[in-house]
Amino acid sequence: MIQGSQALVVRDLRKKYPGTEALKGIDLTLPKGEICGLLGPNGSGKSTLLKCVIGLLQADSGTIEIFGQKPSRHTKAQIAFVPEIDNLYRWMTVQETIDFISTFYEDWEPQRVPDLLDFMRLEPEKRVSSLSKGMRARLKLILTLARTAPLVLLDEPFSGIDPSSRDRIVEGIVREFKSEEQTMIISTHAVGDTEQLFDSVVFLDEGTVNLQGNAEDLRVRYRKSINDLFKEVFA
Amino acid sequence: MDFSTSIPIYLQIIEEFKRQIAIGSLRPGDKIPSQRELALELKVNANTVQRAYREMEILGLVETLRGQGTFICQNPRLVEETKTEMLTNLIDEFLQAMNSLGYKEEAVLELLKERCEQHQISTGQEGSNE
Amino acid sequence: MSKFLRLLRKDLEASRWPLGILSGLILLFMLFVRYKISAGWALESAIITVALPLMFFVPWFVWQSFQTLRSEWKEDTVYTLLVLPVPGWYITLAKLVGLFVEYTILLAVTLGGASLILGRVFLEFTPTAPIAWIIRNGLIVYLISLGILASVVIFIQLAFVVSKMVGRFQGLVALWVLILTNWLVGQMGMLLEPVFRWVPPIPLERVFRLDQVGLELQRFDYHLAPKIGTWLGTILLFILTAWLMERYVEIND
Repeated sequence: MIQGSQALVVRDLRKKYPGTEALKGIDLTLPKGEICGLLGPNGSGKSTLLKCVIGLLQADSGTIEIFGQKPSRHTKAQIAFVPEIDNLYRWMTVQETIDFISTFYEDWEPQRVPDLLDFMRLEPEKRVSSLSKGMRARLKLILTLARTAPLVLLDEPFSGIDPSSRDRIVEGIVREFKSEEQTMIISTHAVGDTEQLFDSVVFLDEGTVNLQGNAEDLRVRYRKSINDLFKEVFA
Repeated sequence: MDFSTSIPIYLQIIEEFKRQIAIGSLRPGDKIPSQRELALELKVNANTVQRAYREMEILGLVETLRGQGTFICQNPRLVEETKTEMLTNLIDEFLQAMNSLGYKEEAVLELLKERCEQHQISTGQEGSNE
Repeated sequence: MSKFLRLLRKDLEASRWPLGILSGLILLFMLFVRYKISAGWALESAIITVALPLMFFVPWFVWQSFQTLRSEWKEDTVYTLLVLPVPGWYITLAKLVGLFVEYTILLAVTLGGASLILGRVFLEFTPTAPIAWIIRNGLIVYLISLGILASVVIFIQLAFVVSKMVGRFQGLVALWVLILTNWLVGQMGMLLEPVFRWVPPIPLERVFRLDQVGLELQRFDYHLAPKIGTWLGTILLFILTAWLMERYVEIND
């Protein structure tokens, strides 16, 4: 069903909001099987780009191809998107949230749920409104990892949460990511100790791609860790 | 392992295996963790571990047996070779650093000898490692 | 189908609290009327008072059809909803059917409560009307009221969705869309009336209570011809809303 070796191809993508130009011609190619770090400070266009890919925003010009298809209802079925914002129904319990989301995806694997709940230390009967921010972030990740979505988009999964939740999330990603059938984009404004997650990185600065490439190659070429490179580029 | 350095992560992983082989905590024929296990343990992208294992196979450090796992190669000279290589690398690096500070090899040797004696006194060691 | 039902169930569960509270209030109100009757209220004023909750339905469902969408935006759950791989009409229709269910429940509570309290009076009212007559007329009135509810919901959904597509003056835009679509649909009804003149009217019977004589049934026709055009227009608006919802609504914080 899925052909070609690129998971995502973005060409000359532009998007304006009243008063600002969020994306100023983004070109991006993401091969299948990679975890890509989408790095840049707040307001650099990371969220806008991810929202264009999932279809929450419509670009003004340029093209997006997800496994060769334009963003639509059909590509939504192939994408697991975790927004930075709190998007869960607060009146649902953890279990109800899982039941709700699971209905909509063919690639949902119910047998993974108990293990994931256990790993993320979440109680199914707890109400979402009673969870801490870190717990909600972990629940959002469960909703993604219980699927084998061909393309996973995580928008700022580590921001504003406690260190132990952050560790769980990093570990969850390493544990559950299947490079044979999945591709992942993780956006973050603070690389910190997450740089070992990335196969490739894209530096986004004020709506343009500043630097992109294989993470190991960049370490060799610039004789710097990705974190140091990030600090230098955005100093 | 410290991933915040400029050394590629897959090379750091290879170096760590070499070190363990050199000091004897991994012996020829020993089974090493699966790629998945190691990725989890280090919290590193599985593709990076895969690359490290592939390189180690090419270097003749490990071999993967279908359905059984990955093992340190049964090469009797492996330990010696690895040790020598690491040693040579360390010394080369050291020499390079000293050269860049303006010391020639003879001077380095002299300084090193002096330093070694002081070191033995301060740590209370007697004799050599032989 | 299971996806649609899951959305419907979610919308119903989301409004279980307001629905429960409202049902309770209606029942309390009925008890109050009952007390008033025993304290010597005239039956006529009791009947009018009992019908008061029905009047309240209009503003309530106008508000609810707006609220079910607004809360998704306000609580950022729209980030969950619009990411789901479902056609836009699943989302809007689930909300519409959800409101049908709520309306039916509230209607049942009101009528059930009223008949419990005023059972005797109802009997007195309908000695001449056979049960089949009540069911038939009741059903037709119920279906017509569902149609009205549906069009209210559809107008408001479109106004809301369009208002979310503009950056500023969202309230004003919504209001204009409401006025404009109302006018458009009205025009469609008038234009298409000749085309549908062949459709027979639905005969209905109104009950009158004449003080001396007793009861009298008065026949009148509910003409469908001028309505069909507006229905078609409303259906077109529904399709438009669903299409905008799926393809053109932008979510940004």
